[in-house]
Amino acid sequence: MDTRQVSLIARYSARYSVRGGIGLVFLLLSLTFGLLVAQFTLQPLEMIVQQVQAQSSKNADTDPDELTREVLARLVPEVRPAVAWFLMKPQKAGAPPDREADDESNRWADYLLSDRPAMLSAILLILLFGWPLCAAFGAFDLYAGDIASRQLRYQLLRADRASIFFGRLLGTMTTFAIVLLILGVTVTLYMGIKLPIYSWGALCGWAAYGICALLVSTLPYVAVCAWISSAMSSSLASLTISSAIIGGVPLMAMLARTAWEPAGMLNYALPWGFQTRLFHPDASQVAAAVGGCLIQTALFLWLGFKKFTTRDL
Amino acid sequence: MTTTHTDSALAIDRLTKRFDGNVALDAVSFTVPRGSIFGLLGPNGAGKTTMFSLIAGFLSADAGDVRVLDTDVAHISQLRGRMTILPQDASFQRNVPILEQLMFFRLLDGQDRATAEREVDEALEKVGIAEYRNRGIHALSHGMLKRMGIAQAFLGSPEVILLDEPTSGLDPQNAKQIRDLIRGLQQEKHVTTVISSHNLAEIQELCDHVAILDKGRLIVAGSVEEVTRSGRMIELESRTPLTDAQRAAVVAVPGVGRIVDRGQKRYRFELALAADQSFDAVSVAILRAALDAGVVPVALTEGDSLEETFLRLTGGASA
Repeated sequence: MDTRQVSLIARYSARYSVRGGIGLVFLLLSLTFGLLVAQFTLQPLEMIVQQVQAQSSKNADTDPDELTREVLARLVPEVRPAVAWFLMKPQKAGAPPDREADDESNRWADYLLSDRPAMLSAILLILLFGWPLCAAFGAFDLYAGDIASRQLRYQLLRADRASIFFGRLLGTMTTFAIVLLILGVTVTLYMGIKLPIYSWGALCGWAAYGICALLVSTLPYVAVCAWISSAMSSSLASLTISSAIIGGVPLMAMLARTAWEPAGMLNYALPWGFQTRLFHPDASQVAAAVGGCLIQTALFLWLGFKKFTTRDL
Repeated sequence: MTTTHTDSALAIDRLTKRFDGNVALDAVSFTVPRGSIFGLLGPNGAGKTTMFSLIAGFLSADAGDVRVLDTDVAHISQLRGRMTILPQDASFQRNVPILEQLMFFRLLDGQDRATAEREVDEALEKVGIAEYRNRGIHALSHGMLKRMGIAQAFLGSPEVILLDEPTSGLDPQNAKQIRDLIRGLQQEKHVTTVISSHNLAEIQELCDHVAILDKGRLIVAGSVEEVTRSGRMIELESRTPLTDAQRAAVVAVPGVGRIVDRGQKRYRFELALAADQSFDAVSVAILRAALDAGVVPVALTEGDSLEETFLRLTGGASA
């Protein structure tokens, strides 16, 4: 593998990825999805803030911190049970309530809703579960389309297959990072300007962390797409299989779990089972989630790399 | 062929490839001398494109070895610009300007941007599509796309160029231009070019060495002279029909097999060259004998000996 070639291919790939039809669809889909999530999450909050501001205008010397506290005081109790339920480990049907698990999920919900900008946490959690499907749209054509059209043949005499494999992967991840950054900056600016309930420091810090966490959680999904895409000679087949695997794992896990409890472990075949822990208050849990993502990424990339470097192109 | 590895640009040894159990190439061996223009011939499905794909490392062989410029094909990317290819049916990117696409290839070869841009401009100029450098491929016709592929293969200073049917789809003027470019590269830069083509007259005109494949097997390989030795011919057009005496005078020339009438005043002399006879010497002897016998020649041309040889060796299938 030649690092200069990897860098060249990555830059070329990132530069031209959004100029093609598939790249544009990915860009529009990702930004539309992200901004819609932000809109639907922030709209109720905006209404609450407007109510509070209307009340406080009667009393002009209302402290902004007081305003924040009032808003959060109304909002957090409404949202907390849902967030705690969402974060709680699945319980066995008919089993007695697990108080320890309840306490952990409540503490976790408090961390996300009280210690961190609550609405941004909500947006990040929703994105965490929707973004993998966007990732499938962004990465399914990493190799399959160019294998089908034989475009790769012009490069194969000039660069080794490892450089092409990792260069394109790096280019795609760069595109993903840029799209997430645009999304993060847009949402943060919008929240900071429209909703003066959080400090810029708290918003920017949590948004930066969230973008990094989303990017880490995206790695295994992109690696799955790379594996599928390197094995296919058709973009459509690659998209269908990648989407079916990424979207099918949690669905199958949920359905299978109703018949046989341990089948729920299928969720751990991809980060679906543990990716929320990227937003856990304990550093050890975050480290375990990052480790899980990296191990899965390495496994899927190894499978994809083996296929790409040995198959007929 | 007697060429050794050190003299050869390409050495192919017992190369075998199967697709789903069907043999596409069956233990094919031959070498391509450095600096030659080598024609790869065969009927449809003979294995020509598979051969190109194996040489370029697009496909992996089931058995056998390919060495290009003394480099094992498994490490083909190490050649970086020393070998280029015009693959069959490969497309370019739709959303990237032509200049950027071709520059990218040279950057991969290790060139700096300024040199890459200059080389791309030169290559586009050579094939006559320089004015499209900043456009996308949607602006190009089928023939222009072919020329862009050829420009890509001529980029930089390749030592070996593989051209899979380079003139198919081109008009006669452009086809001639491409043939002239290939000849120019051979004469000026000693470039080795391997060409597959269905146009046997073109191969005979251009190539000094050929290999003929049929159903995945190598039928014959060597210099055009060697391959066509048993089937070479000369065509004579005379002012008036030949008399029996004139025919007898020409047939008496050593190396002439028989005369075939090709029209009222057109004759084909099929040659049967002995090992020590050269085609040129026999051609001169035929002309001399004809003139001595009072024949007024209007034209004396070499017949399509490669086509005859090809049809004979492949059982009459078309190339």
